[in-house]
Amino acid sequence: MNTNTNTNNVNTNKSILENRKIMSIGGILVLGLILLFLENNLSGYYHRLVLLFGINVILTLSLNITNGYAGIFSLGHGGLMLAGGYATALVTLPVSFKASALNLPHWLETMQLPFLPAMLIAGITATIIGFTILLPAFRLKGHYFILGSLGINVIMINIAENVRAITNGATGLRGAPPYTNIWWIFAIVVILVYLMWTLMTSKYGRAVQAIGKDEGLAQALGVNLSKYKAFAFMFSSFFTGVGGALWTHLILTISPSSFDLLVVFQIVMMMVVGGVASITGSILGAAIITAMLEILQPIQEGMVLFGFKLPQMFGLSQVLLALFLILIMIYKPDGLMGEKEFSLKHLRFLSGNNRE
Amino acid sequence: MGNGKGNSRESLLFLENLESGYAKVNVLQSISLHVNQGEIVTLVGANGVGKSTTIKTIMGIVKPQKGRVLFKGEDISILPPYKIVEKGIGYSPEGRDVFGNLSVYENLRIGAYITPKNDFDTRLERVFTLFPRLAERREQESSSLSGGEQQMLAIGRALMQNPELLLLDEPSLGLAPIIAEDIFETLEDVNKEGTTVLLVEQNVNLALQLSDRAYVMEKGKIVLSGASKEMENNDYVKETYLGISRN
Amino acid sequence: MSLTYILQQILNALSLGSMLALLAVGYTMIYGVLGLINFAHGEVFMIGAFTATFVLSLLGAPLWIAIILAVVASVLAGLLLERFCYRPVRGSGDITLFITSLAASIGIRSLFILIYGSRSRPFPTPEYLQGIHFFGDILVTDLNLIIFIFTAILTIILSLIIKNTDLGIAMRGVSYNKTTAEAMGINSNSIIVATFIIGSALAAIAGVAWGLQYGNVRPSMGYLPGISGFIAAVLGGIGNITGAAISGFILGVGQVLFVAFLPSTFSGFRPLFVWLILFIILFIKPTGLFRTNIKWE
Ligand SMILES: Nc1ncnc2c1ncn2[C@@H]1O[C@H](COP(=O)(O)OP(=O)(O)OP(=O)(O)O)[C@@H](O)[C@H]1O
Ligand SMILES: [Mg+2]
Repeated sequence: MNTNTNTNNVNTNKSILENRKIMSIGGILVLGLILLFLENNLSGYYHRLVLLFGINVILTLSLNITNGYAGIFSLGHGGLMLAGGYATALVTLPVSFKASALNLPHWLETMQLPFLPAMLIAGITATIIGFTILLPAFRLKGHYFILGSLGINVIMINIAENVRAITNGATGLRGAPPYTNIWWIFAIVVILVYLMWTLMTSKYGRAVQAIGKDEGLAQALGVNLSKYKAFAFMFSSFFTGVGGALWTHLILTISPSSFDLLVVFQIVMMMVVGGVASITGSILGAAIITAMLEILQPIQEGMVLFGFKLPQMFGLSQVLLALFLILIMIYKPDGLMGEKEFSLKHLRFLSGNNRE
Repeated sequence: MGNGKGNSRESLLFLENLESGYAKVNVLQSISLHVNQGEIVTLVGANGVGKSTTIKTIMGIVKPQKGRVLFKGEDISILPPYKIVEKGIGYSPEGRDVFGNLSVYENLRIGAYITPKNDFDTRLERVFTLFPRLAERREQESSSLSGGEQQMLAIGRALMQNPELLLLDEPSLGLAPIIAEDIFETLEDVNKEGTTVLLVEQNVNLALQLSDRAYVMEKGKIVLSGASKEMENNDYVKETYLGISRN
Repeated sequence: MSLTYILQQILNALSLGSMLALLAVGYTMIYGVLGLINFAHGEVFMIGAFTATFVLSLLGAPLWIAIILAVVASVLAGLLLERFCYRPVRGSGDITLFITSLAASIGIRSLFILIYGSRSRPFPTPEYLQGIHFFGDILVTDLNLIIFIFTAILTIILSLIIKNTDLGIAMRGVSYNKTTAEAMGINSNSIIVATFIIGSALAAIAGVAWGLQYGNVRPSMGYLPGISGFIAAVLGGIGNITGAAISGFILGVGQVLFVAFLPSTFSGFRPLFVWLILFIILFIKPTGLFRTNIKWE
């Protein structure tokens, strides 16, 4: 659309890009130092909290690509996490377990991959599943789509429960190698943020965001809706699958109930609380909700307060989270960040992106 | 015939320095007008000057930022639309806006929603006498009516409320001239039966013939007002709205 | 596979079909006036079932009192939801409204888990409802029959109300265009409230039926039936009451037949079946089986 201004800006853009590169590399270095510090100084509990936070950032950002930017509201991401989790488990589990508990083709039974290819397989599996199920769902509009996406969860859980030869039924798969660590997680966070940022300021990204804002308008402007929607959904599916894999190699087990609607609900919360269609918002939301869940966990399990043993209160954190979310929806429906990014002007100036 | 010289505050409807608009657009800039009992008053103006906004503000669909809407001396500007209907104001929206999923008869029943049920049949009879076409299509789903029929239905629906004041937003919009004249004749009858009418029209010619008084609106303001007869001969009106050049 | 067998399976499915029909009608009505998928509708259903359980087992009251109190409790829940969750976010977009209802659903379910634990509680089915009859080779349970007849009567009454009363016409008017309806003298808030009352009452009755039929209740019992009810509402053409009821029956009967006809190894795939049916139908006819979109029949 703005080809004229764009060509005029090429020169300035170059130096700005240089600046951005330096900034980014600096930022990554600082992040690396912080992580190194955390890795060496945090005790087990807090260390784990940082890992959970990182995975939640990945999941929230992935969800935000579809639900926030592209305006296709999906509840099906639990099913995609499940796909990623099972995929990575199947290619990394000890051969002995696979041979005794499952009934797999020989090549899969003997397969033992390192983390990186396993994660890629997880991402690709989730993408394929998301794509196959979503292909028909794209015909659906608005609420019908939400319903269809919910189906992904139900179907995936149903398959995980019943295809015992591959999934070991309701018991699930145990003994995944403990691959997940702070470096893997935050490397993926950095990659994801970088990709999202680049994409969202690109032609593709703007088309996707145009769909999110106003489908009719996007169509009128000649944006090929299905193409961009499918692209956004596949991008989102891939990283959701990767998130599921990271989770699996942190918890070390995966079962049909690992990623049910409650998990999706929590990720939706992180996205909504932080700000729909905002990268920094997603990170903020993931931080807030992860912290809330962790604070509530001991209370829920019955903690000792001033010498009194409080009773167990399962369900408490969900009740409070739900209340919190309803209040957010009433008083701040755009989330804490809205569609803005932290220090928005600064970043826009650096990227040379001066539209409105 | 009320020529508007009377005390405005004793009018049936009185808009006092009304300012209103939408989220970020201020449309009406201090509108004052009045409608006396028994009159037909018309509000004319080009596209987008705020005629519909004026009507919607009277109906409470749009809330005024400043000023008052007095109906029989009572400020109704704070009331929700359905309470304003209860006060005795009937409304036929621009673009007809009939309930497309309901039959003609059901639309008319919605019109009579707030009124006592005992004389429902009499009023239905009256509407069917005014618009015989509606009687023929009584059970037809209104989305499948022709534009003119839908317009009749919208007016009929408002009449079912037995209103003291009838607000009509462009009843002739998109209609063949013959049907428009038909509808205007019916409006005259309705008025003779005692209903006061405030009419928004783009068909200025027709509107001035029908009405007792007229207001001309431009960019959210009333720029001219007076008896319709005089307006028809006003040079400015002639040139701008009736398409008759000065020489 | 004999005809008797098929007939038997259909008869067995009558009560499930009835419950889904009742839920679907509630979904479709609320969607009609508010444009909201009331995700918490399954929880309203659960509250009805829980209330009846308590009234029956703790107070030892007769069933009709349990039904009345279940309706009261569910209606109260529906009204609170409408007033304190949905009304404040009305007008801030479909997605906001939906997320709110999702939160309400999970919040209520978790609240019940918090108070009563997540395990099932027995629902005392009165003995006089446990009768069975044989017609030739076909077994008919009283309960199945009663639930079906009760549902059929309710649905017919409801569609008459929607078709002929001022309230029904106003509901259809509000669902078509709220602003215009208000400008015709209809207080859309009261219409929405009335819709929630009716929808929640039907959900309560479905909940009691569920307890009677399956003999137990638990906090998460509303999730899957709730979704099935919504699927039925979609298949019926959103806003179409008769369509919703018929689709509820089709879905209930279809699920049971699916299990009956396939080898038992497949019986676990019932949810998969429901979704496949939904996808196939929506793929062919994106607006559902029946006439759609706020054209209430
Ligand atoms: N819902 C709305 N939101 C924002 N602006 C609006 C809205 N409705 C109308 N407007 C704006 O308010 C102004 C006045 O509109 P209004 O409908 O009152 O005009 P009008 O005089 O009735 O025109 P017409 O003869 O075309 O019907 C216009 O500029 C219009 O764009
Ligand atoms: Mg207008």
